[in-house]
Amino acid sequence: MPNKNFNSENLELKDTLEINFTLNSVKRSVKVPCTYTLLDILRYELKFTGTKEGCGMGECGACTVIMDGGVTPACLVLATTLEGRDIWTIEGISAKDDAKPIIDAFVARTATQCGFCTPGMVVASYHLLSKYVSPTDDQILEALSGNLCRCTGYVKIIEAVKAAARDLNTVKKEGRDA
Amino acid sequence: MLTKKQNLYSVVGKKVTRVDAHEKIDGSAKYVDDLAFDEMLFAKMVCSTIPSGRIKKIDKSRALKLKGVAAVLTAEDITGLNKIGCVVDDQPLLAADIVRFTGEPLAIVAAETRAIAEEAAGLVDIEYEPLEPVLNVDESFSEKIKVHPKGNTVCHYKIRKGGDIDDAFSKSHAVFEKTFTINYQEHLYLETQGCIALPENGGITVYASIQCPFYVQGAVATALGLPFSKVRIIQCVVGGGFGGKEDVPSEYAAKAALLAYILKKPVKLILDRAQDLMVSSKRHPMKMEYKVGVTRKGKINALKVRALADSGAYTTLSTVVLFRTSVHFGGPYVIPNVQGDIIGLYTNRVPCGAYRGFGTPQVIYAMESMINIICNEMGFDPFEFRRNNALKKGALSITSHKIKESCGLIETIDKARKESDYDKRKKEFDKWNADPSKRTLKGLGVSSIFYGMNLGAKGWSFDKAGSHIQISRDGSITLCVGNVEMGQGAKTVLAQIAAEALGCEVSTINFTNADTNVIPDSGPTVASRTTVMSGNALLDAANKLRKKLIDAAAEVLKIRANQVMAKHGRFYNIKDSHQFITFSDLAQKCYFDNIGLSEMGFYVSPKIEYDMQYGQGEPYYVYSYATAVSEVEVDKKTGDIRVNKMTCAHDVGCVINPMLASAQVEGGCAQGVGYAIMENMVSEKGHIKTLGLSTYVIPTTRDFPEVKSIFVEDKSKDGPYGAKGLGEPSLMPVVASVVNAVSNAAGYQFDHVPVLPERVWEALNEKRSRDGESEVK
Amino acid sequence: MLRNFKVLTPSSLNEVLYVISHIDQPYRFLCGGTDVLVRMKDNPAYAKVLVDISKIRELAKIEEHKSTYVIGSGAKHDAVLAYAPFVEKYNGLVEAVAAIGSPQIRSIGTLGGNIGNASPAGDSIAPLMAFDAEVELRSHESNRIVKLEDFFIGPGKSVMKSNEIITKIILPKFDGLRSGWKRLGQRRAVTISKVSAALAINCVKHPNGSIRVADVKIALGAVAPTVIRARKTEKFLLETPNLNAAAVKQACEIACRESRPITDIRSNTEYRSEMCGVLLGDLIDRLVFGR
Ligand SMILES: Cc1cc2nc3c(=O)[nH]c(=O)nc-3n(C[C@H](O)[C@H](O)[C@H](O)COP(=O)(O)OP(=O)(O)OC[C@H]3O[C@@H](n4cnc5c(N)ncnc54)[C@H](O)[C@@H]3O)c2cc1C
Ligand code: FES
Ligand code: FES
Repeated sequence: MPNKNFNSENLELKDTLEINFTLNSVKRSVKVPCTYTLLDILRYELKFTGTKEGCGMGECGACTVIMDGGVTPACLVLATTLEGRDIWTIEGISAKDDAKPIIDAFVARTATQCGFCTPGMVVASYHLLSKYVSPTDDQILEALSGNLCRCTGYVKIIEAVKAAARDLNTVKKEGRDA
Repeated sequence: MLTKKQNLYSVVGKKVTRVDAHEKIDGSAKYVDDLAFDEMLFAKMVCSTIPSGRIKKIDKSRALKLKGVAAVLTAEDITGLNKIGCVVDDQPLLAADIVRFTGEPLAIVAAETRAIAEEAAGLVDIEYEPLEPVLNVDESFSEKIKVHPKGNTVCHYKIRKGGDIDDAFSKSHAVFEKTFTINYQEHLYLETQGCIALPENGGITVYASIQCPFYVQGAVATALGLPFSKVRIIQCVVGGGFGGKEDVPSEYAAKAALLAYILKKPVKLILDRAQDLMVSSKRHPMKMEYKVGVTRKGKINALKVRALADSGAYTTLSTVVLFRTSVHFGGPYVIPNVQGDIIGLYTNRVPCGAYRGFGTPQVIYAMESMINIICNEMGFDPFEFRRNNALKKGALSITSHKIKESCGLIETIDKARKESDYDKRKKEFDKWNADPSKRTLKGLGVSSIFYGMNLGAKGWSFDKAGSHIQISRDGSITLCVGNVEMGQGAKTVLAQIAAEALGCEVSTINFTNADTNVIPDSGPTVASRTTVMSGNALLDAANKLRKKLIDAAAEVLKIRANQVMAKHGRFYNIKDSHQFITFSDLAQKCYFDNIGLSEMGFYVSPKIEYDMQYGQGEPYYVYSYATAVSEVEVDKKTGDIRVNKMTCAHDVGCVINPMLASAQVEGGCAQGVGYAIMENMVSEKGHIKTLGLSTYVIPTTRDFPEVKSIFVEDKSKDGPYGAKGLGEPSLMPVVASVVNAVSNAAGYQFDHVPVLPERVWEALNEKRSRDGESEVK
Repeated sequence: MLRNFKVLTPSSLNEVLYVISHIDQPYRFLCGGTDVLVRMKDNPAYAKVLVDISKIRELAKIEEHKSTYVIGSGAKHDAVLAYAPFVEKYNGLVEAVAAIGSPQIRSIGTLGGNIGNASPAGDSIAPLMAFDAEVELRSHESNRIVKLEDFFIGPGKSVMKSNEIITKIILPKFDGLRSGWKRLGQRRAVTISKVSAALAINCVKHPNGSIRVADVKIALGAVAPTVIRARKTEKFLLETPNLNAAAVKQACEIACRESRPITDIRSNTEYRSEMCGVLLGDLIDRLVFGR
């Protein structure tokens, strides 16, 4: 067996594990099979069903969440790699004040049809707008390139993101002026 | 046009935001996979791994030994009939002795978790005796091998119009001939197929992602041997359908229901993406032989078409889909002599069925390509030529349907030309293409279409719709219709129609999702029929309620009923708008006066006469029309294609909601562009190889063009507020116009869709060696 | 859904090395997981044991040394893209990594995973190979440096032994090289390359107007069982007295012949082979002639 410098627990093959992470700013501890992905944990274990599964293979973006500040496909994050991470899902993001302009713009521009891609789109848009206050067209296209939508042709989604950016900027400016 | 309507109506024609937007945007909308029930089991289908063969043995023992497996069911466990066909009885729910395509389900497993169910499905051992498969329409047509004992023809529609066709060709000034082929298209709804079946009240309740609750009800009742009344179907929020959730979900619902019925536990069946791509229906691949005769003046004089459609292993909806093909293969044009043979053929491939446009984008592609060839070779202007041959009031379609009303085709042609700035762009592009230093070639392509509304002559018996409206005592309103919201915006448009008729605000309306216990059979949510059918059914109910409300308001306001005006939640004196009663007060008054404010509505599609033998008569009661113009750019060295812009003019009768209408057009363009230049389903020896979203690719944000949508409103007398459908027409002209644009850029008419860069590159090379040009600069 | 495998979670590189030298079953590393998990979902027999190295900090660093940059195998694509010296001097690498998958994939996928995966279509590989990058392979017992060009032996296959791990990617420093990368895919974003090419080149302009190639490195992706260096093309270019249009054309033709592509669901042999030349020509145009 490993010598004393090793943490033997880490070196045992595991079936289930207990993980601690932060979900929408709340600390969580779950005991799950080690075969679970973050998406399985969210949907089956914690019943956070806003994050969707469109492919399970990292190809569609429907499962997009924010992990440690990066847009992440929840379907490709294995439970073991989740320990200590900071996760934001659509449930948490849509309740945040700074997401309101995005939600409002999506509603006002009908940036949803069947809606299955929408939570992922909103998360990716939120991430984009928290990185760039006034994204260029190219930055918008790039930021949403990993989120497939079969219904909208993206037109209204892109319009909504632009409108939200304008809105966020006026809110910020007003905030500064006040 | 719009401004006039704005005055006329208070809600119809307005940019009302989607009534279901919030729940979809914040993630709270419940799709079927978001639901869970106590003790719920997970199901997985066991599918054939060969395209054709006899089943010698199904051994469940290894699967049953796995811990957590509740059952493995095969054909012999079916309590009702082992049948699923929705039009023809040629398809088993679970294959019993023969498998006819790779992916055909033979068994169904239920287990405590999704992972166990998947593992168990892999442990069901099946022994086959492989048979020689039929893998394309030519093989099938030869009948050397029969996919079904009765032979390989699924259906054969004939259109015969005018005189002897060969005679007509000999009298034509010029005759053009070409054969086109077109591949599958996969719906690729972002939410895969799925359902949950629950044992309830001695019967079964199914929650599902579906377009047609009533089809599912019939399928489940048949499979289980239950009366319809014991089978309740409740629609969940649908994550995209596009035709793919028309008949196909019945198959999955019946399987899940069988497990739930036998095991007496809730059972969830969600297809994973690879399985969905493998087993669910697709748009029919076709081989289309076209021959067109044209007069010196550019009139289409004769058209002969033979189209062979790959229906796959079972009929499913082929007969109705290909009926549509038979009506639309000549495009929206007046053609005196027509001979058409549209033949559906069985193959040992995945069954093909409904997909947005229902068997028409394929033949439109072929017909519009022919027109492109004709215009290029004979020097006609593409708009003038189409205009010159266009259907208009008083003209006869290829089925000799005399167009009586609502025909805005020519207006769409003119608007598309103008709004796309075609003439200016054409000049610019010609100049660009003449410059050898340019890396790309640019092209413009045009396509016009018409599209029969509702189910038409082949489906008239299904063409009805019910509705229910209930006004509560506080004035809030609950609607239920039998056609479903699948993303197209049905709820919003229908709420607008109801609000306009009732005089209430859209925000006071709530929807109950389609539920077979609540609403009468309303046929399928297909054929762009929801606005018209459910809209009219709602108007039927709403008008009954409106009368009661107006009478009550007249009593309160002490005026005559014909002096009451209802708008935006107020009933007021037409002469004095300050004299009014609010909708909610009125509802309350009715409640205490014991006036019932709950009504059913019903609507039946206009009756039409059609002769199936020669394909002559009125196949549909009215048509939508559209013209699209595409701008593309092709890389001379790589063949890479970029669609830069689409301009689409649609005659939809009446635009109930401009924002949703343009959203439909944009979505249709996205699917059409994908179909035209990107989506390539590869199959090898009867196995689909592109079983993921990184091999079967659809457009991303970076692949999508700018879209300009224009609406023409030539009202239809039978549509609510004059409306016709848009859901499918939005996609239909796109493929042809994009391919024509690519062809015009490359100087080569592409005869296969999708047009991939490899093919464009090849064509450009051939052209270069033909033209003796040494190389691209 | 994933099933039937177990996970080991060593907490340091030492533990990793210990584990992989003692483990008696086939295993795979789990770094970003964007490749290994996709394959396991497709085929549950792909790996029965995963060794999770995603949390090993030592593997995730990017450092500047005297004559090299050292990229930890666990460095995420996003980290490579954010590293200023690369943005400045290794344009070819940045272009390639920026095109890998989607923003989602780049935020968890790693360079080590892209190499470890050994796909001929791995997009970071061509520019790294063109820059003469090397990888450090470590095991409990030994430590060796292998040229990336010698690392791959076939699709999914490399010289790495079962008790080894890629710890670093070593990127030499250069003066004067301009570099670029280009690819063709099935669509414009989130696409696996049908063909890709990386070029690093340094040209000297003679007062008489002729252009001599002082240094050139070319690698081609998705056109052979592994990513390859186009050595013959490089040699031709180095020996060319004047890089004029005819010479470029000839170089592109040589590059086409150096490729050995296959036909698969994404493209076909003839096209892929021909496109090697087109991509190379485009890169030369851009990097040498500024077009
Ligand atoms: C939707 C999608 C799109 C993609 N697009 C692209 C693309 O455009 N271009 C492209 O090149 N790739 C693409 N990929 C593939 C993949 O994302 C990349 O190859 C990525 O870099 C893999 O990194 P990872 O850390 O996720 O690898 P992992 O999945 O963790 O590992 C991949 C393989 O490498 C091995 N490995 C990992 N780390 C090491 C190590 N330190 N030493 C030795 N072996 C190791 C593993 O054992 C495994 O076999 C895509 C994947 C997806 C899902
Ligand atoms: S479900 Fe994760 S990317 Fe599709
Ligand atoms: S709204 Fe349906 S997939 Fe985007």
